[in-house]
Amino acid sequence: MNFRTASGTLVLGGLGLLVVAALGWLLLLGPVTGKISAVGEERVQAQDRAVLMRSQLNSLRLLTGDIPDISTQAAELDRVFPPTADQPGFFSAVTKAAEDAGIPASDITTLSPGVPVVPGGEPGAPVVEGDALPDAQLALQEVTITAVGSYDQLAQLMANLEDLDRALLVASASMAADDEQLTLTLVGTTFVAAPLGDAPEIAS
Amino acid sequence: MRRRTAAAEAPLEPSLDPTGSGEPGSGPHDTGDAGASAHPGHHKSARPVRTRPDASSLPGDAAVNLLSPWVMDELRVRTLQQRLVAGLVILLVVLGLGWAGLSFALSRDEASLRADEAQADALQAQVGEMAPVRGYAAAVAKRGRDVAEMMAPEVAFSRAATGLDAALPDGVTLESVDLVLVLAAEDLTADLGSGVGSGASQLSCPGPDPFGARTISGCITLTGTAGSREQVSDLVSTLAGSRFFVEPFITTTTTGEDEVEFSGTVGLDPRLLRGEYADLAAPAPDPAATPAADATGETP
Repeated sequence: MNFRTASGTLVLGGLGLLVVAALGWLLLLGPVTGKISAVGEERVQAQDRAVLMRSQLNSLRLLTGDIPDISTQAAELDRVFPPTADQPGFFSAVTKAAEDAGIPASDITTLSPGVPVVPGGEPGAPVVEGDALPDAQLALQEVTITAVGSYDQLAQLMANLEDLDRALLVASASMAADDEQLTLTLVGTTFVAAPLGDAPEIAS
Repeated sequence: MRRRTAAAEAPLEPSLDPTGSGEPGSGPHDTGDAGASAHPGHHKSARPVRTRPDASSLPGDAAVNLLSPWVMDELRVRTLQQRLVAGLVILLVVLGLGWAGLSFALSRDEASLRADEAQADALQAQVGEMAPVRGYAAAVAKRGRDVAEMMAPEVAFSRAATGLDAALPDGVTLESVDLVLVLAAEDLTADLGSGVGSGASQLSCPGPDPFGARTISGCITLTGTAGSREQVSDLVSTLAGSRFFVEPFITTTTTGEDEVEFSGTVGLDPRLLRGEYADLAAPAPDPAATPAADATGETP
């Protein structure tokens, strides 16, 4: 079969055209269409990412508008769970609560704040005032308060302690008669938390 | 020899179709059979034929193909080759145009991709710049949840003490009162990964109904004296009727010279939970952490 006969020319020429067409697809059109498809997929991914980023950005912008409220809440939380044991402040607050209940400071016979302990931390590694808290971000401080007074005074003292700026979770309260007066023994927990810091400033 | 003979027999004109197209009338004389026989593409044999005028033919209208079959084959092959070359050119042109079009589309898509990526990168950069806001808000929210969770079991002991005093019948005196939370802070921190208090269990408060124990927020253990067991019973009835207390239960009554010493327990109703910090569990305060109003809409 050669190009000297009509049939040979037709067959070989047809095959040649088919080969050229196949090579043209494989070498020219196929790679380009493959690239177009890949670029299309990348475009979809980029557009999806842009949509996601735009959504996050809108949320963050809304959140930025709430920063004043969040800062106010943070300040309140820092007041409830202060960043240090703040023993002077705690002593002052308990004394004032007792005096407001009609109990003189001298009748606060015991005021024993324990060492703040990080839950799960090393038993021998209490949190020292002013030290940065570890990852737990929260430490517990057991407090024991003993006061002497009448039933009404001691009930009022408990009410005043419930309204302290600093959170005091009273775990147990025992009142026992002692001669003419009652003795109240409160065992509770206060909390020390890592400071939340100031709100970040974002350039508009 | 045949050609000469044919020429001698009649004044025939050669019917040559160099193009080999075989189109009727392409020869100088298209005379039916004679014309058809002059087109080798339409017959297996390409022999030159001698035409003879039929009845309708005019004298001198016959034609004969004088080319040899080999020449005709060569002409056909050449024609095919020309067509194949033309097809090849067309195919190459089509491929080139297709490639050019696709390349243009690719460059356009790549430009769009770069624009989309630049837009996404710019948005991501803005999100990154504002990330501290999210971190700060998340930290505050988590602190709020921690505070709400830690202080959730807080009970208004002062209200319990006041209510207990108000519930005492005449002739009953309390000697000691111990109020205990159901859950202490150490128990609540067990889920902080600490393990502190992990072995603690919820406080149980003895009650009169072993099959219908009610939920309590704390437990009071009390001791005192009364003039009689009827007064102790009055105390139990009064405590049971109070909205602050549930399941009063006297564990011992001991008669003395002129009084009855008693001891017992009474649970604290969940309405005594203060829930003061529940609203700090931003952004979505847990409704379960807020103090529930009683049937009359009254809260402790």
